[in-house]
Parts: sequence; structure tokens; C-alpha cells
Amino acid sequence: MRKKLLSLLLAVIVSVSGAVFVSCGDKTDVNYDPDNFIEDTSNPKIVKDSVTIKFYVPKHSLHSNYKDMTVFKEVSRITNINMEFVEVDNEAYDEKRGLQWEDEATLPDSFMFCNNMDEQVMYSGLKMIAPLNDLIDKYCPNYKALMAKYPEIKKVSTLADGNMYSFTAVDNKGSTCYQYVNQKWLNDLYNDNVIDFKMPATVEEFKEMLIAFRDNDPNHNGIADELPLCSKFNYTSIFLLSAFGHVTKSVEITDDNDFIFVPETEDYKAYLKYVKELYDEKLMNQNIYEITDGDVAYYGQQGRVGCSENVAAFLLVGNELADQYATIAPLTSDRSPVKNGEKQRVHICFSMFDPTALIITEKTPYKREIARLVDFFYSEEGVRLFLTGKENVDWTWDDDTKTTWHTTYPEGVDTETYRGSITPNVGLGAAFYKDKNWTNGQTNELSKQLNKDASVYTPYLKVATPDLIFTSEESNELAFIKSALDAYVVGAEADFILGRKDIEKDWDSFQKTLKQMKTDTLISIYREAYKRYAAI
Amino acid sequence: MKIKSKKAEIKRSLSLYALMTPSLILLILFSYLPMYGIIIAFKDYNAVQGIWGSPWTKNFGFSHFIRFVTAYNFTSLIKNTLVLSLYSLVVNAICPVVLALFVNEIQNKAFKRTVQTISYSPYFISCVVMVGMVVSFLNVDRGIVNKVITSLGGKGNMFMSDPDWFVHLYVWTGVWQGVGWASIVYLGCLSNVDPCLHEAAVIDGASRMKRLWHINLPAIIPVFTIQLILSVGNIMNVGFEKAYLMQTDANLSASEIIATYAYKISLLKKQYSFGTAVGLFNAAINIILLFIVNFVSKKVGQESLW
Repeated sequence: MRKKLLSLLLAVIVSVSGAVFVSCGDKTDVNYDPDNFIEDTSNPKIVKDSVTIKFYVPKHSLHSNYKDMTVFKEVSRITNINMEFVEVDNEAYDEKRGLQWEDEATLPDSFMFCNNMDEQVMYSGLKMIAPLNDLIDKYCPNYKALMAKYPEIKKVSTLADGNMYSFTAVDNKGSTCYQYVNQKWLNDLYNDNVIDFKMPATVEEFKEMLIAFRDNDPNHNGIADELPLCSKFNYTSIFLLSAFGHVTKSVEITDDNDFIFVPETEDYKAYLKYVKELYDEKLMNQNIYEITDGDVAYYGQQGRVGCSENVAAFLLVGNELADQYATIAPLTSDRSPVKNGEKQRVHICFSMFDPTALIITEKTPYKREIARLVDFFYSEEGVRLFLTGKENVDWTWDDDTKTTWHTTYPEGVDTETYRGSITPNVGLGAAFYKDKNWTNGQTNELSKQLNKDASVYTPYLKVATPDLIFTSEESNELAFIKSALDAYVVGAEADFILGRKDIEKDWDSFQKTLKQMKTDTLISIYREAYKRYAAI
Repeated sequence: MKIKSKKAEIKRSLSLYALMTPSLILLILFSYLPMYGIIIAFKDYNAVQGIWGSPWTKNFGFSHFIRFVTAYNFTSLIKNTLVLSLYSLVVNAICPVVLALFVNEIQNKAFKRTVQTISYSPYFISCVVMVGMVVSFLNVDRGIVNKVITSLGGKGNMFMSDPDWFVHLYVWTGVWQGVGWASIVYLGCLSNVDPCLHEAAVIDGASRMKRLWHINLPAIIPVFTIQLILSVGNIMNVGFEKAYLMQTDANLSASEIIATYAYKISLLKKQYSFGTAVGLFNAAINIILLFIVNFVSKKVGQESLW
């Protein structure tokens, strides 16, 4: 009886779990016809009869469904490829993405955007993703031309085995973050002779400006409710740090191509002291580790914010007050690097070459089709379509010379949401090729303003480290070291600024702890990787 | 002969076995079968070679554990986890008992029910919403708590940025959320207390406090002990979600616990094997603690699990 019961139980378990496995493995049989592909790259059509190709994509809350986006509808029309999408919410993306590889049956044909390097190293070693060198050579004329123009593309995307596995997203303008300051307050104070500069250039002047904001009621409402520096302590802290010559709080490349860990420098100590002064004199918001973007926008719309970080002034203070604000160029201090007797300014630049745009899985038969499809996004027409939408529907040329253009989005709709129905280049900033020749031609009021805001930083941009490629062992070790180290550095910085630790007294023990957390190993891993990078 | 009687016994309670089967299946499917995955703690896991095919690590498969134990942040992780869990264990064990004893003394039925409903309704708020509420209540400029403190002449405090406050916030918001719900089981015990005992005590001249101490409390103790032992089994499993949600850059030195660390390193940094090893280490400590407490409880002569 007991045996019977047991076997019954087992039978139940097996059938239940069997059902689970079966339901996971509904693999559709692909009948691939190689002659359906059109080899001729000058023909916009890619396949003779329509085929369906599945892409795995990150979905931001501003995005419409990918299949409804103008870009992909157009591309499908032009190329005859029916694009299907597996959309994953970007908040949970990293988590879900890692698990996607477990089951080969549900693996998509291609992953679009966010293909991090570690994954490429790992899955290329396991022959799960396809090398692109031959495909690019044969089917991607536009991409090849771009690679000739920017040799960095090859450097950042070639793995140790000599192959490229991902297309590289190129942003030749160099994206950065903006520090906005209330220009109107500044002008008023200058005209009242409270300050003797129109825009602060050094850390001392910056502090003087904040004090003037604090004490002189620049918004003229009779209450001292101004918040001189009101911001999340995110890029604002990088902006302040850059006055001391560095653009990151982690590993940074030096002018002679060596690597340093910035919190181990005296510059970082000077930066800490400076921030602590600002903090103690209540020149910056006291809740720097708690404030949200919503809070800042709330104060901003009340006209109380003197200086803050954001990607556009109207997001910071709303449309009415936006024209009072201007970007402030990077500052200098007595620790700024000096070249030819002049103090150098630096400003953080997010990588211009991001080898994460698109990978093709090894199991898909549609490698050539996908390669040609991607190449379209690197063509002039593809760039326009991807970044802006359809000609004469979403944008038009200003005149017959076809040099400048403006968008013709419907009146009264939220631009970002509307763009979300055109392209995934919203929210996430995902793009294949952001060509400045195209974006700089936009003549809409707002974009002219934004281009002007950005131009303040363009001459000073510096990337923290080139996009190095690490081996599996190296990236395991990096993940292990960094997971503890990053947490420690942000925590210690908070302790120093909020005064729980003394910058002078506790500096040595801070340095000792950093060493114990293996910053030396970290640096030597970067040096090794850079040697390989330089050799390509 | 003996076997036969056993057979008969099984036959007699067949319906009970049938009732038990679904939960048994559930247990096997979701608790025992997934344990197979623990193997990757001893391996360098990758998705293609699979759980069984991935190579074993060095040091007889223990290199991930050695790496974790020798990691610089190991002591602080253990300390944070233990402080948080022991503190909340003690507070969460005692508070519901006290609440139940007091509620039990309320004579007015309507009032009693209102108190009960109010005290256990926070239990139904989801963790995310709860932390959101806590964060806005404690906002340094606009939060209600700081408003009250400053209006009483005090100085506002940045609670969420302060590692010293993190533990207290974590535990006492937990009490606020769970105390009413946890006290229900004790109230159930108290309603089973024989009224004769109280009547006899009243006749003997026992005060209210005395009766509470000598009659009500002993009625609760057995359940209390079992509850305590069970929660010791979960001692290292401090709520991951809540700790993760309440983390800010400035309180990381107190709020980084094993569970959040394992999450970050395995799912965000994709070190699956190492993350599993950390999780397994956590579970091993748990089991050891459970055995110790059970042993102590048995020796002291009260209840025990087995």
C-alpha cells in the first residue's frame, strides 16, 4: 500500500513537472530559405518574402509598444522584415535579461540595446552569440564607413578572440550632464555690485555666488527662502569634483594613460573639504542623500533654486522660469591640472562609443538579414528616421538648401511622450547612431537652447576611462571588488560631508581601508586591459 | 502482524493522507526540487553548460565561500544582519504579547474591536507603499515628523541618511506594521483561558495585575515559545525588500545586509555562483541557530519543535 501510494505520488510529481517543462519548450520549427535574402546592399529591401525576426528590447515608461513605433513600422515597410519584440520593463531589465539565456528555446534572434560587455565576453566564449566581423564586411557598408572614420569603434568592441560581437552605438557629440544656474539672479547681483563676475569661473567665485544667493534675496519676495545649490548629490557632486581635476569617483585614466583610483588622491580630499564647507554653511540643501527629483522640481517651480543639475532647464523649473537658467561651465581650483601655464577645465563625458547596441544570437538563421537591418540605422536616412521620425510627417526641412530642419510634432502634446511613439530614443537614450551633423541642424526653439546649453561643455569633455574589455576572470574579480568598494566610498563620502567623520583625522584610515579593499588589484586589472586595448 | 496493523492504520486515515498530498507536492516542487540549484554555489556557473555541466571551483568547490568569508565587508555584513535580526526578533516577540494582554483587559466591546482593527490594518499595506510613507513622513523639510519636532522647538533630523537611525526605523516601522496581526494568535489563546481561574483568583483577592501575571501570561507562554523558535529559524532572513528600499547612500554602513548584498552581486552584477554561495552561507547560519535555540528551549523545560 505504501509503495503504491509512493509511486502514485511520484507519478503525480513527474507528470506535473513534466507539464512545466513541456510548456517551456514550445519551439517552433524554422524553415529557413537562404535564397529569400537579398544580398545586394543597395537594394533597400532585405528579403523577398516577409520574414519575422524577434528582438529583445528594454521598455521605458515613455515608450509606446515597439511594434507601434513609427521607426519600426517604417523599417518593416522598407526592408520587408516583420519585426517582433519581446519588451522588458527597464526597471527590472538587468534581472530578467540574465535569466533569458537559461532556455535556448525562448532565446530571441537578437538583443537590441543594453548588451553589457560581461555578457558578451561570457556568451561569446560559449558560442551563444555570433561574431560580426564577416557580416559587417559583407553586408554593412554604412557601419564599415563609420568604423573607418572612428577607429575607436573597433577598439571598444573587439574581444580577446579578435571578433566583434556587438554593434557599437555612436554618439559623436558626446553626451554629458548639465549644471544649471539662475542667470537672472546672477545678473541682478552683478548689476547691484554684490558680486564682481557675471559667471563664476573658480570654486571660490562659485561659493561667493552661492553666499550671495543665500543672503541677498535674489527672488525679491522678502523671505530668505532661496536654496542656493539644491540638487540630488549625483552629477552635482561630479561637477564639483571636476573643479579639482577628476570626472569620476572611481577608476580614471590619466593624461599619460595610467590609471588611478580617484578617492585615493589629494584632489579628492580637497574636493571633500570644499563640499563640506558648502554643506556646513548651508549653501546646499542639507538632505542631499534623500532629496528626489520631484522635490527639486517643486522648489524649482516656486522660483527658489539657484543652481542644480538636470538635462534641460524646463525639466528643472518648468517652462515659465526656464529661460532664467543657463549652464555653468566647469570650474577651476588651485588643484586643476595645468597645461602650458593655463588651468585646464574638465567635464564628464559619457562614452561616445558604446559597444552594446545590438547582438545576434548564434542560433538564429537570420544573421545576414539582421546585419543589413542594423546597417540601415547607420545610414543617413536611418539616423533621421530613428532620431526624429518620418520626413514631412514628424519633421520638415527649413528650406530648399536642406541644411536645417525642425520637428512638426502636433501642438499641445508632450514632446517626450510623442517621441515615445516614434522611437525608443526616449527615456533610455537608446540609439544606434546619434550624428551631430543631424541633431545640430534642428532649429526648434528648445533644441537650439539645448544645443547652446551643451556647447558650454563641449571643449572640456573627458571620458573617465575608455571602454575597456575585460576577460571573464577579470570581470568576476572587478564585480567582487567593486560591489564592496563602491558602497564603501559613497558611505564614507556621506560620513565626511555630514561630519560623522573628520576629513583630516580620519583620512589615513580611509586610505588604509581603500587599500585593504584591493584598489591596487583594481588598478592593475585596468592596466592589463588597457594594454590589450592599445594593441588593437 | 505489526505490518498488517500499520496497513490498516494507513487505510483508515487514507483521507487524511489525501488531504496532505497537495501541500506535500507543493513543498517538493517549490522547496526541495529547486534545492538542486544550490549546486552552483560550488561551481562556476554559466547558462550554456547548465547547472550540472559547469566546472567545479577550486578548493574542493568552496572557493566562493572562502572568497566571501575573507572579503573585506564580511564582518560588517554579518554584524548588520545580526543586529537587525536580533533586535527585531526581540522586539517583535515581546510587543504583540504586551498588546494582546492589554487589549484583552478592555471591557468595552466596541472599543476593543476598534483598537484591534486599527492595530492590524497596517499589516495589509504593501512593503513598497509602507517604505514610501515612512520616507515622506521623515522628509527633513516637509515630513510630518520633522514638522512636529521643529514646532516643539527641536532640531530637524535627516533620519533616512543616518546609519544610527536605520536599525530603529527598520524595527519599529516593522512593529507598527505587524504588531496587531501577530497579537491575534495570542488573543485567541487568552479567550481560551478558563473563566473559573479568574473567578477563583478574584475571590482570593488577586488584583488585576496579579491575575494578568499569573493566569493570562502563563496561558500565552507555550505559543510564545513556539513562535519564538520559529522566528529564530528566520533570523538571518531579515526582510530583503524593506532593507533594500530603505537604503540610501548615506546609511549603507548600517543597511547593507547579507540579503541585499547577495541580490546586488548575483542579480545585478550577474555573479550567480558567488551570490548563491552567499545565500547558502546565510541559510547554514540560520539552521545552526535554530538547533541551538531549540536545544536551549528543551533544556529549560519549555516547549520545543522536535
